[in-house]
Amino acid sequence: MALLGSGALALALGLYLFAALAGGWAAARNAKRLQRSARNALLAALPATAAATGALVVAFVRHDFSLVYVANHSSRALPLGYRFSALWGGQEGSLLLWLLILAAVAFGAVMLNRDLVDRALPWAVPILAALASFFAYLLVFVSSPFDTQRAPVDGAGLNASLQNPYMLAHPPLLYLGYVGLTVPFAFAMAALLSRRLDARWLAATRRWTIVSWTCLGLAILLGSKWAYGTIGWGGYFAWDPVENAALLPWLTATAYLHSVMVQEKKGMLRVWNVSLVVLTFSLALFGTFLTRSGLVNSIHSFSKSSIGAWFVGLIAVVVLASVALVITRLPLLRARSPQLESLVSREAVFLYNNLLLVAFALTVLWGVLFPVVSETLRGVPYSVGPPYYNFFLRAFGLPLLLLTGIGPLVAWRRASLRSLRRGLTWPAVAALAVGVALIAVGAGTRPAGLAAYSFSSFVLASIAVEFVRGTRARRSLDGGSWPAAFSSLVARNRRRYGGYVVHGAVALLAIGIAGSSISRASVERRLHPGQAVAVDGYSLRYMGTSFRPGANHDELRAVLDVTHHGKRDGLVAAGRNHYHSEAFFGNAVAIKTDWLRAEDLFVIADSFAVDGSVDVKVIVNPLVDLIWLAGVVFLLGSFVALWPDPREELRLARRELTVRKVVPA
Amino acid sequence: MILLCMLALASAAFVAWPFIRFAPDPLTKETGLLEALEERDRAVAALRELEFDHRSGKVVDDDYRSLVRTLRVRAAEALKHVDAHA
Repeated sequence: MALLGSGALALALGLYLFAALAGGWAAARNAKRLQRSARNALLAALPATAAATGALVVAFVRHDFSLVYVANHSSRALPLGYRFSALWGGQEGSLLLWLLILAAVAFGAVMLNRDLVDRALPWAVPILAALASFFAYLLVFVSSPFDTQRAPVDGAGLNASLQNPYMLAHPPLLYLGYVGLTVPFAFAMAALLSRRLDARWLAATRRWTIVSWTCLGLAILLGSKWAYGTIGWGGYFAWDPVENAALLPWLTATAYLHSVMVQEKKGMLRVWNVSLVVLTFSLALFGTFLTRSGLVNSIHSFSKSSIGAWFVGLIAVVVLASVALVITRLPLLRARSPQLESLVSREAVFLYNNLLLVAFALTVLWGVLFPVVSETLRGVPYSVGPPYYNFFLRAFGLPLLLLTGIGPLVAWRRASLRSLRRGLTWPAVAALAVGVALIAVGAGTRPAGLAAYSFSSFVLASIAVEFVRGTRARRSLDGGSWPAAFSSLVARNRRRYGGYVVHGAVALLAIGIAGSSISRASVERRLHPGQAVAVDGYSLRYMGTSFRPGANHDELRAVLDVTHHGKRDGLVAAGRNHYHSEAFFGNAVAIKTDWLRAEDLFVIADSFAVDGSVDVKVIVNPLVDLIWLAGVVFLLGSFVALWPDPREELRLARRELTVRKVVPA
Repeated sequence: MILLCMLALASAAFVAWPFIRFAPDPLTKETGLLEALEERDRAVAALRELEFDHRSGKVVDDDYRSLVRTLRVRAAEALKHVDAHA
């Protein structure tokens, strides 16, 4: 396996280097045969990379501890599913996963846009290949997963925190998000280098951007769900540097997905969009660097290593080269770019939303970097905690939430006061009604929470208004039933209405965050068998402990009988797991979900004593499940937005056909 | 070390310079036509969207009348540009 894996990696590196160097030379000289040869090298590198990854997976499955990486990240007792996820349990495997996803993404992007790459954007191949060469070089010469040793009897095991179903999906999704952003970056740079700044690169990369953004968003949510159920402090997002690192490119990609519509509709914001693509990709690289370098302390940094310097070099090269390229192409980017017609228009709202998103991203970035900067300058690593981030979340997040509701109701180009009044009336009434009702029931004591609930109602009402008005207009144009008109409305503009569904997810997320942060109740007690603890309508009686030995871990639990407002509501069991190979104790919290109220009863049990007593912490998290529901709605909206639009494909094909008729290849 | 980095960066910039240096506007016939076609499609799509927004009530009559005039002029200009490049 070691020979196959390292040989396949060396082959992949050779192919990537050829694709990068020959492809660059061919693109500069317009040497078509060499261009295609370089493209083929890039495509051929996928099977080689997949073979290397397959070799490592087989080594994990077969307990081939002669590979140092396998021995360090698995054991004989490790269940089969986690032997697969052990692939990304350490640095070398994570880099290999990065490279595999990059190879697959590059393959897909080049194959699906063969004509465009051949005719107009030949630089896309060498750029993708150069980035892949970097990772292949690291894997071959710096941090190989195929280093061998004399095989020990058993391995060291997998980090217990990673032995969780969410960790089967979270890292691949996160990497898919990070790596997928390579495609818009490579195509944007190719368009700049080729001086072909028409909308073709936007059309070619739009779906890749949405897929990457969706994967990144889901990865953040799955990571939060993992932290919620595994770390055991009752929260889901702690503004940890690595969590922030994933949030950063997601925020700037969100800005880009909005501003790119302004370019498509009006030909504006070309410089801004290219800059956002560069910023987003650089932040994706920064996220990988942060997770892998051990630069900052994080519960999510599963390995620390010396490859940080390599990443700093890569980020520096990417940023410097991209900025230089954008600057040299400024005259072309600015040519024929129309001006903003009104400060009250859809494009103006997108611009405001972009400024807030980028400002928030930069604020979070500063919070992540501040400990490093302070340590470098003053020798003391000052940490930046949740109060800093929460302040800016409120400062930027609440206006953003309001704009999420206002944007869809404002027309493109300009909107008069009468138009605005007509559009905003019902959502404003809904927001006011919710605000007044909350104050009336005594739930409006925290202004930020009150604003979050009211603005979220505004967003949900604005989406409803848009769907109702749109369906009515469609029905008056096409006739037919209401469901047919609704379906036609969405089918004719999937991106717009898919986007509205995503806005709904944002509103649910805001309600979930506000509810679980503001109205959370908790109590902590040391209990002996038979004693009870009460919080927020729940009462939990400690019945005793249970012990269950497992294949790779033992489970010790405190069993508690739950009653809710006097009614029996079943048993919960919270405690600790002891992982044998890893010699590690991990939390096993108990979560009881009331889906009707979107509320969780969250129980942590610790410090088991021989007299049967145990420390129990009970938290009631109201509305927290809306956060996970928002993930489902977000995925649904992304699917709608991603679904191919045959009319748009036809329009693009006709445009290309006209060009080919007039200007033959 | 710093000197070496500066030398490496300067070398890289020198090697890359032929590719990134600014050249006079290289708009070829293809890119000119493509941009004209894109402008035409944008203008037509904007008119369609305006009609729909007016019908759904998002755009009031006064706004509609002033916007539709501007967009029609833009669409006509875009068509002229396409003819000029074709």
